Order: sequence, then structure tokens, then C-alpha cells
Amino acid sequence: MDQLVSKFEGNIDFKGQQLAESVSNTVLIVGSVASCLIGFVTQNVKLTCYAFAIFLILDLVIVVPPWKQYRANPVRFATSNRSIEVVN
Amino acid sequence: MFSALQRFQGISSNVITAAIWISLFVALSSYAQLYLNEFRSLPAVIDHVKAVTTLKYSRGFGSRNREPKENSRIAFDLTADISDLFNWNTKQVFVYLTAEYEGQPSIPANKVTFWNKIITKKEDAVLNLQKERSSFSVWDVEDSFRQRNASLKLEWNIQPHVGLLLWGENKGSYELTFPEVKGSSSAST
Amino acid sequence: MNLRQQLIQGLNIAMVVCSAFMFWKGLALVTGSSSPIVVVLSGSMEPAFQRGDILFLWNRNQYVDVGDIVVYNIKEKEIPIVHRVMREHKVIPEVKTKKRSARSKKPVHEPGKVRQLLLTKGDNNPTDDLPLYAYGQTYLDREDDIVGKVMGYIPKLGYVTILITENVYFKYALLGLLGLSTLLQKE
Repeated sequence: MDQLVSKFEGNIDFKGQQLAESVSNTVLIVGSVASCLIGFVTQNVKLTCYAFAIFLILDLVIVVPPWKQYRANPVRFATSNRSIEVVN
Repeated sequence: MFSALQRFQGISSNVITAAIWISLFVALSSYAQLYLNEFRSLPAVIDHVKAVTTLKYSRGFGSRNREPKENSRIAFDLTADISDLFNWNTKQVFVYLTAEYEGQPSIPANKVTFWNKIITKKEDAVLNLQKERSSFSVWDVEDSFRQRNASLKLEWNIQPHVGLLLWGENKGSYELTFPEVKGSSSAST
Repeated sequence: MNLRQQLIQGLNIAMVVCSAFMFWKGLALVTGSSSPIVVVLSGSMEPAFQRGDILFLWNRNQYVDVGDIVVYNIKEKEIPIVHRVMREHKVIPEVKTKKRSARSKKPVHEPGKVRQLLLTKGDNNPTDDLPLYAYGQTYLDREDDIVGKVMGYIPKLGYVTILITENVYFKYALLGLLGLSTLLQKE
């Protein structure tokens, strides 16, 4: 059950999180400006909506699934080579 | 940003913020376009207005207790070009013809609509109507129009895709006198 | 979780509900309208407003103008109607000396004050709203019946509320989704 859940969770490492966040922000900013300009130049509001929807879907596809690029630097936990003795 | 769900939630909130910014840009830029086109006051010509006053006795025409109520209909010519009001953010323009007149001292102001039209495309925005008839029969809050004078004006309401609704009216007006009831003994033929 | 934590959680939920209520009432105070945000329920104003559009109202102007789009309530009917003003008459009614009973629902009018009487019609309706008004009522009164004038709107966002109230499957699906998400959340 736990393995199934972790597969669906889509975890990525820390460097990958930074990359994902910056990519998502860039795509959204570029997408917003581009859809505004497209609509204004063609004087058609529907084009703005469609362009923004395309950028939105693009953003979701790029960032949400855990691609290999986001898991390139996995976190290395320290291994335990000492045992702790309990002294009464 | 650790799990896919968190990334999805983060992106959703960013998308909503972006959508709000885009809406603001659309609304403000289209308002600027309209302002430059002087949307509040455009020229239009109302001409050759012929009015007919009849007596009606049913509730659907304003009559109370089957008392006679004067109803007015008009036919008019209209020349107007409101294509300046159309830009990417215009969903529709609602044009209507209004008549403004005074009443008794206890009724300081009256304004009625004789005709209206919905225009959704810029191609339909050049109006060149001849002998256009009023959309409905108009009655006053009093029982009779008493052959008063009224000012006819063309007004419009711009409905955007996003943003505030805007109103405007034409420069000048047409002076109309409500005629006597058709067929009454004192009316001239 | 011990009792104190549960009580604190309950308090948090109460704070959220109260702040939402405060925001709503504060907005009603600023706009002067009893219901400053409404969702369009009927198609009588198409193509201007579709079902599911959210409208923002403003009620602080003394008079409304012909051509304005207003939201109004018929006396004793709870459903707000969004239509356009077709006619207005500013009338100073005669002073009535008849005494009103304490249980009469008719609103008290200041004598000598101008009352604005309105006739409305939906853009998509063939005739005006006279059949919709209360029995014996021939005009709307700006102060008594008008909830507010429409200043701006957001398209289609309110369709969720229509689905919740009208579509039974949607309501249960939404509740099921909420329940599922609380169960699967790890935190």
C-alpha cells in the first residue's frame, strides 16, 4: 500500500523543487504576457483565453509529473554505523 | 513542492493570480480604447418621427379598472455609427431610444424607452434605419400624455467580456410632441 | 488529540466562518445593498448575462437611470430578478392620512419625498415585467424593491452554485470528493 501511495505522490528532490518552481513561474509569466499581447493585437478575447489555456496545460505537463530531471540529485541520508547503548 | 499534489495546488493558485492580472489588463486596455473613441458622446441623427396616440383599456397596456389609458407608438428614422464602441472586450452594445418629458408639479420627471436593439458585431454597428417602428406601446404614469413635449435621445450600454458596464448617449436630441388621441373629435385629419 | 487541541481547532473553524460573514456584511454596508453579489439564475438577459455569471451590485445612488441593469425582489418572493430599467417616473405621492395597522407589511414612506417608479424588462423577454410584479403593483419603487444596480460582472464563475443547488449528482460528487481528499491527506 505504501509503495503504491509513494508512486502516486510523485516526490522529487530539493534541487528539483527549485527547478520546478522557477520553470513554472517562467512559463506562467511568459504565458500571461503572450496571451495578453496575442489578444490585443488580434482584437480577439477568445484568442487570449485559448492561448492562456494552452500555456496552463503546458505548465502542468512540465512541472507536475516527476520527470527524471527533477530527481537527478537525490538526498543522501547519513548511514548509521554506531549503535546507541542504553545505560540504566 | 515535494509531492505532485502540492505542485498542482501551487500552480493552481498562481494560475488564478495570473488570470486576475490578465482580466485587469483586458478591462483597462479596452476602457482606454473606448475613452479615446469618446464612447460617452457620439453623434447620431433621429429624424422624421411620427407618433400615434391611442386609447387602450386592458391591463397589459397600463389600464387600471378598464379605464382608458393613452398609449403611444412612434415611427422614426435613425442614422448612427457606433462602430467606435466595438473592441476586443465588447460583448454586446444595447442601443435604445428614450423620451424624456415633465409631468404635473407632483411628477417632476419621466423617461420612457420606445425602441431597443442588441448589437453584437462591429459589422452591424452602422445603423441606417428608415421608418423604424417602436418596439412597444408606451404609457405614462398619468392617464393621458396631455400632448406634452418630449426630448428623444439615442442611448447605449456597452457590455464588456470583463470589466465595468459603460453607458453613453448621443449629442443633441429630437423634440417630439405627443399627438392627440387618434380618431378623437378634436384631432385634425 | 486532547481536548484543548480539539477546542482550538473548533475555534479556528469558527474564526474562518465569522470572518467570511464579516466580509459579506461589510461589503453589504459599503455598497448599500442587502445582497451585493448575486448569481444569474435565468436566461432572461441573454446574450448579455448567462446563467452562472456573478454580478457586483451598487446601491448608493439616489436614483437609477433608464437603461441600467438592476436586481430587484418582488414583495414576499425571495428570488432576485436581474432585468433592465425601461421606464422611470419621479413622483411625489399625495400624503395619506389613513392610519396603518401595526401588522401591515407595507413600508412607511416619508411624505413629500420623490419616489422613483420603475418598469423593467428582460432583454430576452418579449414583454415587460408587469406580469411578474405583485398583484395590483404596476411599478417598482426604487427604494423598496431594488436591491442594487449592476456595475460589473465575472462570466460563468457562479455556475458551481447553480450546479450545487439544482444538480443532485453534483452535490454528492462534490461531498464525496471532499471526504476522499481529507481521508487521503497525510498531514
